[in-house]
Amino acid sequence: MKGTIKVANSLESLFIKAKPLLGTELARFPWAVEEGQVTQFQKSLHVDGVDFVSKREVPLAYSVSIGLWGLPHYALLKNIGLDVKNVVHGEQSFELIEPLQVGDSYVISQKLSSLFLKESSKYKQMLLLTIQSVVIDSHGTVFIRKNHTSIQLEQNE
Amino acid sequence: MEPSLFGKITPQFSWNKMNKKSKDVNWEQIFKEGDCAIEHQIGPIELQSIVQYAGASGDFNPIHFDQDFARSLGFPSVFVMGMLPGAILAEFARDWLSPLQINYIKFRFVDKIWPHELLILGGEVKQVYSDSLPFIEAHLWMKASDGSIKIKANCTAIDLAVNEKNDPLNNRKG
Repeated sequence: MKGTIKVANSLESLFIKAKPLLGTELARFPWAVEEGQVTQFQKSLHVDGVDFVSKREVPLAYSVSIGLWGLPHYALLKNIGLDVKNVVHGEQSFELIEPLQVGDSYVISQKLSSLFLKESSKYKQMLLLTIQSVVIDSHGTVFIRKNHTSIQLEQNE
Repeated sequence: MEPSLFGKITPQFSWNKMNKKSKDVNWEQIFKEGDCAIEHQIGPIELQSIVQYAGASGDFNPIHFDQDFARSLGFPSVFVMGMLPGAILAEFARDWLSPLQINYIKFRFVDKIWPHELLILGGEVKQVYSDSLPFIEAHLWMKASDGSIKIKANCTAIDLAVNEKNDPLNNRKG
């Protein structure tokens, strides 16, 4: 039916399935700040006139965006049974503790930090999952913390 | 036991770890409560930018670039991933609030952004904190040309030079 997002399982059963995973740390994965990627980033945002790469600086927007869709995060959503293609972005918070640098390598660690099932007038139900990501270096120094809330919608028929 | 990496996300003002950039600017003369950024119009965000951003960020949800897929779900077209305009808003704030450096930002994605839309970016200084560790708090927004809000955000920005000088960790040296 037009306007209906099909969800394989009811959101309530997905909520029950996901609940035991709350607080579990996901597999850490490496993240290298590559020059080409930063340049692509600048182009996609039309941030002109700032030569970040030669100064090894990273645009704020890049730091805000990285690691949102890392494989462990993606795998977690799939594992719970969410229809990843139909997940939308709800809210995001970001704290910069130390700036990243172009050419450096980091590790991203993530956990499922909160889980809510909500009802709304627009949608039948909404499942809200917040993943917290922490960007660290090889010494364990924390550079960035961010929360990223994904929403699986179940629309009214 | 190893301390947890995870924690509540709030402005922590880790000024002592930031890049050391001397900013000999009295920013408290520049930013006052109620000051607004000059609104800036952007858009439309083209499919090319969406695909470039998908490649750079790793957000390959086809709902953002595959028209047939988006239509099969009942949407009139693809829509822009929230963090692309979110990132644009962050860069707008970075530029507006310079020479301060943004160290905290929280976005709320209020409504979908469609590729044909023109968007207006704005911001207002909500509070200036002038104590020994000065910073400002600002509200940011992105709205459609009809005035409807698409993204709301709050951010804080710090003065690296002043905070570095007043950093108790620095003062402990020698």
